[in-house]
Amino acid sequence: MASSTVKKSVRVQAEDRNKAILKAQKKWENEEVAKRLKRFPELKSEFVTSSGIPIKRLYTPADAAVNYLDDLSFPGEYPYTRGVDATGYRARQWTRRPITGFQSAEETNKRFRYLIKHGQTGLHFVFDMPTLTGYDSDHPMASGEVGLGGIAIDSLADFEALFKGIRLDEVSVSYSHWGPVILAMFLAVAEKQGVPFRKLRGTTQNDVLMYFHSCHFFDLPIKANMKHFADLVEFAARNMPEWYTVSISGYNCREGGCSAVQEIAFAFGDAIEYITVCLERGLKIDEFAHRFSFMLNAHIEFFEEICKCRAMRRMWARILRERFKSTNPRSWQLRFHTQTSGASLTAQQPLNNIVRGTVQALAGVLGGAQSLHVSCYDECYSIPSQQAAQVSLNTQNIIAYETNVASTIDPLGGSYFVENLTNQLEEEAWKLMGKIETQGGMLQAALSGWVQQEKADYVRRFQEDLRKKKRIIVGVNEFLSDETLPIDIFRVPEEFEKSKIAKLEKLRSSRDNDAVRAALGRLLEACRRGDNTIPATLQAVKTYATVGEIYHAMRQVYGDVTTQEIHTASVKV
Amino acid sequence: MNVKRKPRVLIGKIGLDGHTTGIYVVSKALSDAGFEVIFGGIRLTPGQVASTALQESVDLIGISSLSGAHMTVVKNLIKVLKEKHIDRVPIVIGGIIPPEDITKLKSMGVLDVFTPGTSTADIVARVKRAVDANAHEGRHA
Repeated sequence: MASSTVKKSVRVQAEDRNKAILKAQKKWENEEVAKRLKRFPELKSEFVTSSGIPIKRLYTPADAAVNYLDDLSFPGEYPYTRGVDATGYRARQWTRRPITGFQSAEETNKRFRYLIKHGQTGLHFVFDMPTLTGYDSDHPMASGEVGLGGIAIDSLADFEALFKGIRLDEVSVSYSHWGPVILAMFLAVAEKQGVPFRKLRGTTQNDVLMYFHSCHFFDLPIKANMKHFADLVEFAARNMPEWYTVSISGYNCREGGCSAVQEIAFAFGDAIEYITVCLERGLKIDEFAHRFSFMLNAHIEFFEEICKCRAMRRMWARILRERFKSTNPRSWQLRFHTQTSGASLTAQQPLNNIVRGTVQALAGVLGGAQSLHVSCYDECYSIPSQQAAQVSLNTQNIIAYETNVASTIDPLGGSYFVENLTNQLEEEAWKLMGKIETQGGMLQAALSGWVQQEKADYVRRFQEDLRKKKRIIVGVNEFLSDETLPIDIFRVPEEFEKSKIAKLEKLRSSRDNDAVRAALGRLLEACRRGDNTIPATLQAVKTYATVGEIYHAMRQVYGDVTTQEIHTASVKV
Repeated sequence: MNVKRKPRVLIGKIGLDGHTTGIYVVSKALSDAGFEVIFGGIRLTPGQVASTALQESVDLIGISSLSGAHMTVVKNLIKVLKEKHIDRVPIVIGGIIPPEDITKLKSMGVLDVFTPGTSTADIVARVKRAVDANAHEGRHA
């Protein structure tokens, strides 16, 4: 009784204060602002964020409607708006997690060992397109793509080369792929090293819906991938307690073109589908939700990005606690890796990208990221040169050690503008999530092509804004110059594909092919029965069955990707 | 009466590369500039590109490639176009193409290459020129 009276009188006080502020603000606008505008009209008729949220000339306490304890609270406490860690970066800085992946497992292994020698313990690696889409290096669809943009994996032999001399219990490994095949190879290496599964630390990106609607990576029908998603989560929940089973990647979604609000809503839309499929599997929410993580984009609109991180933490906490009735606070905490936007970088005047990366990385840090990667300045041309990789890493070190920005938690919390924008992003994102629900959820919205069309519409509007100069990008539509920078472009040697294929042929003729056939047969049966596919896939990879062969077995049960699914990438002209 | 039809271009991607932003933007720009755009989509085979080009009698084929596979993609495409006797149709390529490859692609028969930083206005103008030059010679698929 007493406390509600206190609350009420606080509210009345706030309302009175706001009235007084608004009255004074009106006067200020009519006098000072009007006088100034007469002499100097503003540069644009409207100022808006990437999400179309209007930005006002000035924010006051009247705009920042927050109830401190309910809406912001303390770091490490619900709803985590100000952060998930009670000491912020004061006890532990964010992790530097650069991406690595050259054409071959052997080359990448060399790079990993170099990084480990220099104190790096978090590895992130990426694969080439044939590996991602379930084809061997000698498949016609793989022609010309082997080893480009990532490591070419055909069999466990490549994985063994990848981790040669690296103990899996001494590093944390994250990788961009999904489903049972790569995880099984990882488990097989762990078995050979005598590392128990429960000691493995790392992340499977596993964001199968995002890969479908934003990357257009097609390996199996999406429904099979959703089933495999639950397989991986279930397996990890029982055997790999330290493993992050998904990194829900607003990042990739944003890179393909969308606003901050769309990034929030699409990422949470995907997350809700994943939670649903795991609950349908019979798992309890708190058996798995605490191992979900996120990967967010640090784009160029500084404040909107910071507010996006804050809004997402608050929304995730509420989704988990209120909608899914989670009772474990660990499940309510949104943890994220952030990467600065590669798509915001320009081919023109590439050194300017170092500045962009700095502003974006700062937004990531002020947004409270758990780990960070700064996209390299030569990103538009190639995978990074040694110099670009170094500048990228030192951008983080400068922010961490020189600027003092990491000494207090959520330093922008309480800014009238920041709290207002955080609220607005949240509100707009809930609205968009409502629209996704009316589309039948994110899976349906992706299968119907609705998500893809929304994104294409965004990039086309963006391009139109550039043409009309409603939006300026230095070196692209303003401040042009002819300077070019000679950039060393990393190239995969032409012979690589041939030698990879030769290696694959040698493997096929030297392994025990009866064992391979038997293991693939058992995998096919496991798929047919609807069993968890990970144990049977593990047995298959141990016989050196190839990625293509394993996928072939799965496609016999699930079918291949349908033309209709591939067609979701085609949007209206 | 010979009604002059809109110039027709086929836009798409060959192979596994899933980067679509470029084709979304370019297809819209060309369509706004009065082209009829056949949006071929992604994951095409060279054979599919050739048959669509033939069926739709396109005036130009535009292929986007951002994965680095452009040399193989173009080599395979030109081979199929030759087999089907439609190698008269001009081909343009857009994407991340290193400078030294541009010369090679052109010597293989590619008419124009659009690299990062090319404006849509520039792409529209160059595609228009390519199609007009070819129309003089009565070439389409």
